[in-house]
Amino acid sequence: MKCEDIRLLMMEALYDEISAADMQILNTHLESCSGCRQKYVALQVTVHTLEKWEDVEPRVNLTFVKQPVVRFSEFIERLKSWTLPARLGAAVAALLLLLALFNTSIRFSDGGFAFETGLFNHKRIDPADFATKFDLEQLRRENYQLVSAVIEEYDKRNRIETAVMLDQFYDELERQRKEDLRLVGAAVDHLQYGTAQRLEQTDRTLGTLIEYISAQSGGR
Amino acid sequence: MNDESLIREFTAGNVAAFNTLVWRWEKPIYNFILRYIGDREQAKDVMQRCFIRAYKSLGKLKDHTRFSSWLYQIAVNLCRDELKKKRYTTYSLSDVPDYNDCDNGDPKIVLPDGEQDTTRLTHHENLAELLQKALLAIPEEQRVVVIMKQYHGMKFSEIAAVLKMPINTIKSRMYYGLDALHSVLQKWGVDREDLSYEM
Repeated sequence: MKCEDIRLLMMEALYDEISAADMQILNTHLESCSGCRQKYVALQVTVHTLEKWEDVEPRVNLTFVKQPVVRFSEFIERLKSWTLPARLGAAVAALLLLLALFNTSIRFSDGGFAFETGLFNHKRIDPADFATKFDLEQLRRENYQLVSAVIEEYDKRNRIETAVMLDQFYDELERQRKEDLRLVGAAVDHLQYGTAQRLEQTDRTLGTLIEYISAQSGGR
Repeated sequence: MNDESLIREFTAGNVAAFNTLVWRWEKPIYNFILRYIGDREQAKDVMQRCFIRAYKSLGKLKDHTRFSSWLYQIAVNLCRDELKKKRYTTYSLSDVPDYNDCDNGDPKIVLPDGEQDTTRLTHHENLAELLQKALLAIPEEQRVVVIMKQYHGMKFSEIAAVLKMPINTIKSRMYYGLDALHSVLQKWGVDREDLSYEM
């Protein structure tokens, strides 16, 4: 037998799992193979060493507790022990619950399910009352057009009012300019008239002065 | 009351029967997990998860005689998950200094955290800690077989059933596991005298 196979027998022998026949084979091999013999002794020492390592206490308190689950039969047994008013109350509650459950409606709309529940009948809603997605789109478009028209009209009216206001402003400016020109003309006329009068007066004064000077020089 | 009877009681709704199973198995399972992953707190945590998983799925166990194997199977899976998750540091043989590295011939060891100790390791460290480190130094697939065989007295056929492997593979892994442990202990300067001193 090869040494590789003897290793397996060594393991069996170390842990007392070897048969008598295999033990005989192992012993025969060990007598003739010094390598295996040394290895076997070394493994025996190792096993002996490992045996000295003792178990330790976990020091953990693990306790599992049963969750209280009420079975249907237990529930019925409990019900039997209830008083009449309690039983009646429970029956009414169960009835109301059933009514609510049976009155549950499921509706599919807008890609999802809608649940409705209640004690009494739901108000049935005519599907025609619901705005479809198309209707909503149409409404949104019309609304947009209306708002656009209002804005446009408002802009137009604003533009007209601005133009009228500008015309009035220009007219007023023109009137002011003409008035200013008239005032300036009048002022110039008045100035010319005053100047002419002062010139005449100066002429007259000079004439009188010349006459006086002439009279004085003729008298000498 | 044996395990099978307790399982029958439990599946009939008696939770106290499961607590008896826990009480019976918590010590071996805890020690199995502790030796596998090498950390006390993590071992407690994994053990709790192991029993919680057992509690939840014991009803699905058809062959009640396989309870212990089934429980070890859960523990092995949880330990593997834990080791993957936490990436526990294991010490490989190459990390361990050789006798020849010591100038004065006195064996020294480089501790895993780099702390040097100039005296013989076995005089300072608890034997359990030393063996735990040695166990963590060998490959995981050998370690699990060594633990099951050496500390839980499982037969090779039982280990093969738990790990779902051929029996000869299990024996082979046991051989290589013991051989690797022997090498580790030798490299760490643990000889027979040291061990007898410590013991």
